[in-house]
Amino acid sequence: MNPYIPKLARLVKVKKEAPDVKTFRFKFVEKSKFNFVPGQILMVTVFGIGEATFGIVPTEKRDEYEFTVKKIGTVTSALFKLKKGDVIGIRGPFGNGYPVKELNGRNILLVAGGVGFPPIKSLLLYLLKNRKAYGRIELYYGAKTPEDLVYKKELKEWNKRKDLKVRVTVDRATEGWKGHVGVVTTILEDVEVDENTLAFMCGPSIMMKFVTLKLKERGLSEDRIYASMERLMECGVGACAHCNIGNVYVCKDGPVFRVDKLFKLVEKPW
Amino acid sequence: MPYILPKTEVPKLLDFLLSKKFDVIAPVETEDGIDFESIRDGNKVTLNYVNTLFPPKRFFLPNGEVLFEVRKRKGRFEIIETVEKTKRVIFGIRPCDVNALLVLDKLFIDEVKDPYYIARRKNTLILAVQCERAGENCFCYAFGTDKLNDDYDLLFVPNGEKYFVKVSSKAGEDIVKKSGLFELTNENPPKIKLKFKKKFNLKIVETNLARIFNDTKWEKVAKRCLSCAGCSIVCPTCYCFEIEDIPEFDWGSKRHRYWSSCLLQSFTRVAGDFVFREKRSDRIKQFVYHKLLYYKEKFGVQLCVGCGRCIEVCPTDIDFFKEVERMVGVKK
Repeated sequence: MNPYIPKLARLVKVKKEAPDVKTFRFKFVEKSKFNFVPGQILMVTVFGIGEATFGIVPTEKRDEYEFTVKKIGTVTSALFKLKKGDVIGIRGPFGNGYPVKELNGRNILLVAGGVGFPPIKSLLLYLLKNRKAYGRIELYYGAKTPEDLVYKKELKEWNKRKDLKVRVTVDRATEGWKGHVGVVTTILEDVEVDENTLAFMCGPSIMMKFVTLKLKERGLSEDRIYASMERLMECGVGACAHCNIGNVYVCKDGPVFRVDKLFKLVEKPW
Repeated sequence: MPYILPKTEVPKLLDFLLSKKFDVIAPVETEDGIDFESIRDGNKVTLNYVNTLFPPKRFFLPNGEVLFEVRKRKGRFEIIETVEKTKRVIFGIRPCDVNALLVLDKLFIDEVKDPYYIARRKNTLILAVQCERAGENCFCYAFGTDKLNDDYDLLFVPNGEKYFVKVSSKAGEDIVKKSGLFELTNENPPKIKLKFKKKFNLKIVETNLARIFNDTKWEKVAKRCLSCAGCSIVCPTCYCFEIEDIPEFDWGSKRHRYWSSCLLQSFTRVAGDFVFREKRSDRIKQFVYHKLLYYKEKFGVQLCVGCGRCIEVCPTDIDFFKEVERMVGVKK
């Protein structure tokens, strides 16, 4: 098995989420095994352009998967030109994913920032599949403006559920926004934690830094906070050495790390 | 029992290998100095060198190698793997550089199972030549990489006008037998004791590295560094790479693998222009800690063999090893 060679996949749906954000749904051209854990990542190729890393999100169909992209670089710009029926390359899944087996009976806080939402969505969908197995589930999501919010339709549905608390905030309101305004830590002000709570966050470094501080302030220790880390990745298999933090590779040992373990590394995570 | 080969017979040996359809890589004189090249005439070889300008890394991890081709025909994509399987022999490789390959084997063979590297390693015979003298900046002894166990096909130990040749593989044995140039001997190869000018106390450095991560002296080193990445380029173990797709005019594209360096700012740049190691001192630390700490924690060996090329090549005369010793307080 050559770890560098992608499998061909076909886009079955492209959905606009926000001005510069789209969700791509794909299916492998040849039927292939693709078992993943929420929080794992994949490498997406636009042939002739290059490869980029995204979080994997499951769909209601077993052989179709999604990833959400913000148009911000070369590969993502090329992806934005693709439409239903176009062929891409997929490598992965890579990395560890969330410790889903250790979540039974836990109260779970999910914190997402901007387009750091996909891994958190992946985990939330996993938890909702077997909702009874867990305690309280709370989702906190922040974006720059109301326009920038992704998964709007899903958020509306989750909001209706009685067994899920959803709080959304934007850094800057625009006309018509009736929700909360402020960075994501401002909706965590009164978050309740107990000895049974675990938190999972994904977003920009600066957000995760302040969310960690806020959660600690609320009484949650670093060994119960998990971060999905972002770094440049070229290979996804622990070879190219671009994504290390100290002696761990984000692509292989991560991307999910317990925050206390991150701070034991020689190099600081943020 | 070892064999004997007069030094003057080396060109004939290389010609023999050429006649057996091997791609022969050997040290030759170039415009810039002694370096490995793929040769077509055994007489081009030179035996008069301490070590080559560049390590033989590029024969195992060539800069820009093609990983695969993507051909587009009638709207269908086809991916063609391009693993190179040329039969090769490298003559004149020094023990430090052979050890560098053993260090890389741990990652590329054991861990990643990189098919490109594996094919090149498997298809390349190692004809190592022991050093007669140490260079200005050599400090292989500090890593124990001046010695080889049996990680070669043939090992040439110099003794005056001849080599004592030790055989360590069936392929090596075949060369000895079939070339008809070697003579069996019951003498023992000489023990060469090299004199090293450069000192390096790995033990003290290793035990104190974590402690000095936030030392302000790193900033001083950074002020002298130009981030030219020369040290990475000449390093026999610097393997970090980037992957690039290059479109081909009318039929598809190729995916290439290029050398990279943690000393470059772009090394950790993600989309949106965020750079994780923006400060030069952070990048220097990445270089030093990857070499002396992180790799060892993962694979049990340092990512350095003490060849000294990085010291030799640095345009501003930075010796990372000397700087680190200074920071941990090694007394000279």
